[in-house]
Order: sequence, then C-alpha cells, then structure tokens
Amino acid sequence: MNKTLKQLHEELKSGSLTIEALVESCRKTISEKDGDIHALLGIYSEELINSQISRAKEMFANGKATTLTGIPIVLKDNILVKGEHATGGSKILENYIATYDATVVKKLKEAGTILIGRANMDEFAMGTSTENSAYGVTKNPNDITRVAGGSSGGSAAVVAYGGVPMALGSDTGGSIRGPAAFCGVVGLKTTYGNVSRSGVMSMGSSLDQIGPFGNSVSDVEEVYNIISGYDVKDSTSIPEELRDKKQEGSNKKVIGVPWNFVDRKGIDADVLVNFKAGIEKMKSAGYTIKDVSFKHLEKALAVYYIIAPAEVSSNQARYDGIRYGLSLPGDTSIQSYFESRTAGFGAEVRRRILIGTYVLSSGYYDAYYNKANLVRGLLQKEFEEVFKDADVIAMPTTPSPAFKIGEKINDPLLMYLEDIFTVPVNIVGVPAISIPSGKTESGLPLGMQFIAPNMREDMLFTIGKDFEKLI
Amino acid sequence: MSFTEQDLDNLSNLARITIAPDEKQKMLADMQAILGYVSEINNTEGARSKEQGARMDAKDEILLFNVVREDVVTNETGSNTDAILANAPKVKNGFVEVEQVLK
Repeated sequence: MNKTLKQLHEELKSGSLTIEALVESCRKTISEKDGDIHALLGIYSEELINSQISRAKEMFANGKATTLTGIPIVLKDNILVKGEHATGGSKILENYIATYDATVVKKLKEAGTILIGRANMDEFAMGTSTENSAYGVTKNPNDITRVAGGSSGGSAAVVAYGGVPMALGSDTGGSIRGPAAFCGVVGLKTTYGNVSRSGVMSMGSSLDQIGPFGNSVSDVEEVYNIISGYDVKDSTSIPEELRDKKQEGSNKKVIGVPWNFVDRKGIDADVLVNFKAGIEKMKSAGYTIKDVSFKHLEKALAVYYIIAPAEVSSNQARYDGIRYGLSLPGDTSIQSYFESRTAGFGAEVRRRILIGTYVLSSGYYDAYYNKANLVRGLLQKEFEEVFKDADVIAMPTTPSPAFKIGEKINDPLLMYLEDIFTVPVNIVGVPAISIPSGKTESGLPLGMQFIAPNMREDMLFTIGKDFEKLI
Repeated sequence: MSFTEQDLDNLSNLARITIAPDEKQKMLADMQAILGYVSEINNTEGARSKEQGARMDAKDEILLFNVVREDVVTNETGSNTDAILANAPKVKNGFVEVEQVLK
C-alpha cells in the first residue's frame, strides 16, 4: 500500500478506484499475508463492513466524503465496536461481544471509514512484543523470526505489510511508538486527554491514549484529525475551549536532545548511529540542535512500573467472571473469582496485578505509589522547563531494533527496559510520534521519536514531515 | 527490601489470583527483580516528604479533582439490557445470577 490517504481519496473521488475494489484488495493482501504474520485476530462481520461501504458510497454521492471515507482501517482489539468481538488479547474475553461503540469508532463510522478487522495485541495492552497475546505472537513483517513490538503489534504489522493503510492502537508506555519503530511505520501517541478513551479497555487510566498508525506523517495526521476532540464520556477529555489551535512558535526549529540519557549503556550500536545520523540531517536542514538535560529522566521507567501496575490492578478487578467474560464455577462466589481470573489471565497480567496490589498496599503505599506520583510531578515540571528552550525533544523510539521472538519473554525486567525512551512521554502526558529513520545493516527498521508540548501535535506533524523527506 | 513467598501468597489472595505451585519460584524471582528496580525512586532528590505527598490537592502542583457529568437519563430504560445480559455467564429472570453469598 504505497499510496497516501489523500491519493486514495482522490482516486475514490474520481472513480478510478471503487470502494469495493479497495476493500477487496486489502482483504486479499490480508488473506495472503496474515497467515505468516498473525496481525489480526478476526475480521469484522460482513454486515458491518457492507453497511460502512454503503455509508461511504452515500457520502461520496452527496458530496460529504472526508479524506478517510471508503478507506479500510484495523482497530486494536481493545477498542469496542458494537455487536463485534473484542478480546483485548485475553482468554478472559474470548466470547465477549461489545455492547456499544467506542467514541473513536463512532467518529470513524461517521467519517465513512471501512472497519475491517481486529488487531492482535499483548493481553490487555501489557507488553512490548505482542508475545503476551493469549492468541499467539504477531511476527515482524520485515523478519518473521522477530517480534513486531507491542503492545499494538498487530496494528503496526498490518499497516507494514500493506493489509490496510491505517490502524488504531493504544499507547500506555510506548505501545504505539514501539511497534511502529519495529515494523517501519509511523505511529502517534496523542496528548493525554486529546482522544476519547470511552469504549477502550482501560489499562493504566492516567497513562492510556489512543492513536493512529500509517505509512506517512500526513496519513497519521489525517486520522488524528478525525479521532481527536472533546468527549463528555471520558472524564479526562480536554474541553474544546482549552484546545487552542495554532499557537505562536510552531515555526521555531529547535530540537532538544538529552544526549546523556540517549547515549547510554545498553543502547544498541546501530540505534545510536542511526539516531545521530538523523539528528545531523535535521541540523543540515536548518534545525538547531540543543543538548538538554533532565535530572529525573532515569527514574521515569521506575515511576512507570509502579503507577501502571497500580492502575492495572484496580482496572483488572472488573474481570470477575460474574457479569461478562470467562466464568468458572467455584464453591463460593469468591472461589469463582479465583478460578475465573487464574484461568483467564496470562502470566504478565497476573504479574502486574500482583505488583500493583503490592505498591498500593497500606504498608508500601508511601514508599512506592506516593513516591512515584511525586517523581512524576517533578518530571512534568522538568519537561515544562526543557520546552522553554526547545520546541521538540528527540530520542530514539526504542533502544534496539526488533528482537527475536522468545529472546526476552522470560525476563520481564529486561522486557520493561525496552520502554526506556517511550515511557517518560506517558508519565508526563505529552504527545510523541515515531517515524521510520532507516534500517540496520540487516534490514530491520528503526524509529526516530519526536516529543512535543501538550496539544502540540501540529509541531510533530510539521517537523515529522521535514524529517521524512530527509530519510 | 525482602519480598517473601509469604508476601506473594498474601498478594495473590488479595488480588483473587492463584499462583500454581510450579509457577511460584519464577513469579517470586520476577517480583523481587521488578520491585528491586522500581525501589530506586526512593533515592530521588527533591521529591517531597510523604506528608506532602498524601496531600496532593488543589494547593499542590498536581491538580486532582473529580469530574462528574449531569445525572440525567440518556437512553430509554432497558434499551441495552438484552445486549448486556447476553454477555453474562448466568442469567435468571432478567438478572445476572451468582452463587449464594450469605448461607
């Protein structure tokens, strides 16, 4: 799928391409390639696909088509579509049918997109490799012995192999940007509060955000324009009056690089070389590169692996086998919670629930959860300070290219370290984008990450488009 | 900091999750490694005392407040009942059925 969304739109509008033919070619690619890659957990019902095709045709007929009208999209399987399966990558929701549309789904339906299928993911978005999916790993389209990244591995992989031109994922600690980097596509983590999370399975509620995947920055921007906006159904949604559009300074060109954080032990040599080369290219394109320093950035990963599990442990409490989901009998209802949750949750989910329960327990609350919130506050202040000197911050997206399937799965802490460059963004709430920055000698994609101040996705798009041209 | 097998048992009981005997040693080692790593936040300079941390209210930098919406009915009564009950493992007379709680 080498065409941009705008090109596809022009072809659909002129009639040189029909919606049916586009949908059919996507489905053909998926049926040819997904057997090897396993990016998808399922295709939506024909009823849904056909009703969206009809809607899209009508929109073209009456002149109301948007750029996304008639274009197929895949959704991470933690996003609810009324009447369709949504598993969250978990056995506990294997037979669950969504009872309502997520707000992002409503917006995509209204925009006339064709919802094609459900993307594989780490169970309830907990993971960095999609190896924690209860339905099997998603393989990297660039090398099927390697992971596609996670947790939105399916969404990244299906765009990378050309199954659809756009997909949605969710990003709690890097789950959009990481797989985008590993698969060689663009992925955007939006500002906390920018895109409604109503109808998306909660993982870490103070961290989770929805965002798009695409083949280019401008494609991702098109999807972003449709899904962002205030929603009364998400209490963290940013009100319209605070969504100041273009602000002063979007033409400034200062990129801050926290060199002492990036050039660290454990970073892959190829990643560092590629990152430095990318920064040099931006410099020669007229950007000013500034060394910026953070005092507490090293603590971000520890903060994350306290706050995220704490929120996970409370959010996952809803899976009790009583109202929906896997239910196994027990002698008492409490015994049936044990049976259902133990059988329904995989190892990583159970591990995070236990860590979360620990850091929230009365004896350790102050030492862990409270302390993590205080350091989070310090980090937010530091980012504000750094953004006074730099328009955006640049870091590699991941410390290594896609690793081998099985390489890190038995060492959770090693796996967590893959998130070192992405989690600070979620801790602070700001938006960030991962853009393909070239490949290693062995042909594995790498990602450049740009981070902007709150609600400045526009800066990421401007700078990202410049960067794309240089690669 | 020592995280013991007893701690693991207590947590799994609180979280309503059973850790099988053959998984226990691995889970224990993973938890010790992770908790050891995240404990480093206790060496953060400049993070305030726990008393200040406990009072993260409007006076503090992190502004936390509740967001509530109007308490109004937005859909016809019962319009979602069937779809919701269709996901319930056991249903009786339009209710979700559970094991007897008080015996």
